[in-house]
Amino acid sequence: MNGNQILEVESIYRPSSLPEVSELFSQVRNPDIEFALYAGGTELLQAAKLGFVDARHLVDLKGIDKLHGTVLDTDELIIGATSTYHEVCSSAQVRRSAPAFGTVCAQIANPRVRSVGTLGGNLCFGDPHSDLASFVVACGATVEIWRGDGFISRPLDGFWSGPYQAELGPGDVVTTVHLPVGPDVVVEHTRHGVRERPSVTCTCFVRLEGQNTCEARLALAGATIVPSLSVAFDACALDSIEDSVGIDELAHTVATEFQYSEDLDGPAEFKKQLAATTIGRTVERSRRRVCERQS
Amino acid sequence: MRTTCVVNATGVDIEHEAGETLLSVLRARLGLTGAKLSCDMQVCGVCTVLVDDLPVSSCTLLFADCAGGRIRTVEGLAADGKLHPVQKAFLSYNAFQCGYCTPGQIMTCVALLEHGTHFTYEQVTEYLSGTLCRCTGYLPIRAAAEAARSTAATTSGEK
Repeated sequence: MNGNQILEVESIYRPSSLPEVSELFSQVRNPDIEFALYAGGTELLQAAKLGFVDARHLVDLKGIDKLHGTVLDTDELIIGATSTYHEVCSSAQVRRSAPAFGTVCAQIANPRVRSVGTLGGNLCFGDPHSDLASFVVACGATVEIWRGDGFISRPLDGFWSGPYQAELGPGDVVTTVHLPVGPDVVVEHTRHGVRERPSVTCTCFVRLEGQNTCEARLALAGATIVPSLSVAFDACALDSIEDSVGIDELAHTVATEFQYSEDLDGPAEFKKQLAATTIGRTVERSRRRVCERQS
Repeated sequence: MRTTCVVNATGVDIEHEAGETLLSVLRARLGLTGAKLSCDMQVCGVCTVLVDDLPVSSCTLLFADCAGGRIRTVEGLAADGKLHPVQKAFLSYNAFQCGYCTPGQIMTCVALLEHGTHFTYEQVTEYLSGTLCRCTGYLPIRAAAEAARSTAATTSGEK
């Protein structure tokens, strides 16, 4: 058979708990052994086929119960890192508490990737064209990370130091994603792309307190070097918009904040224009929904 | 290493390479050559099979990850000498030319319809859009899928 249908894999470890993962890393001190954590493998195995990662020693995380499931905890949806996109968008809990997030997951790649690919894998792989990145950053989501002897919490804003570079150490395991939700939350997400991975995504998160906009954030990904939160966009900026001209001006101002990548999707200057349009549309829809809630 | 699972309703226990994909095992070890190799990167869909009723790209799924799972390929669709309704629809609508993508297209349709028949035409189109065809221009494939959906909906009493 042509193609790379037998990957160079020497061993597959299947820990059933997080301490077992740490034990694996501490016991094997051979510098030639580099463990690769995976669950669905849709990114890792693909990269391994292309020779970009060493997948000789795989650690399959799917057997660890802590990494599964979805729980609503007051104003936070806690989703296990090994939850597949299919599981997320099929979850009644997600449909009730965070329908916009379910929609994002339902649009990722194709049905086959959605059957197998996982939330944790998406975030840890750090593809700059991730569908999820701008959403989780704008919403102020955090991840819980197992780090040898305990758990730490990290915001997803700033989680990536560059393309494909999640800030994780050897043996770190992302266990859960914590997504702020609530009846007072309005989230609008725009995705644009001609290939399976989006060229640009923009997410606007607004939290209302009665008639007031108490919190507003906007994040961009896909066109940028790393998923990034806007500094200029906040509750005041959103409330000060009077008309479509105001939206346009704000969108262009916000678009100048980001660092754009140059790749198959085009040069940086094109991406800035694309971003401005996408931001404008996202803000326009957000503003309309906020006005509806406030009236 | 050895992996045990069910393939087309038959239990199998296969000795294989640790890094061997599901597609390789199906084609090279089990002789189930319906699923094909094409893009080798989960994009084209011609390697689509069902694992636990969900469509997967068998070219990029380790067979080791199928342990305990139920795998269905196009070879396992017909029952008691009768074609599956999706297969019949593909024949009726001439939804293939070279046939290379056809097993993948059919398994994708089967996956969709097993999750319900309430999908709109646009939803069916969107679901199928992840499986590529260089020959037909997609219209007969979409027509076959819609016909199969409609027949299934009528049979189940849905609209």
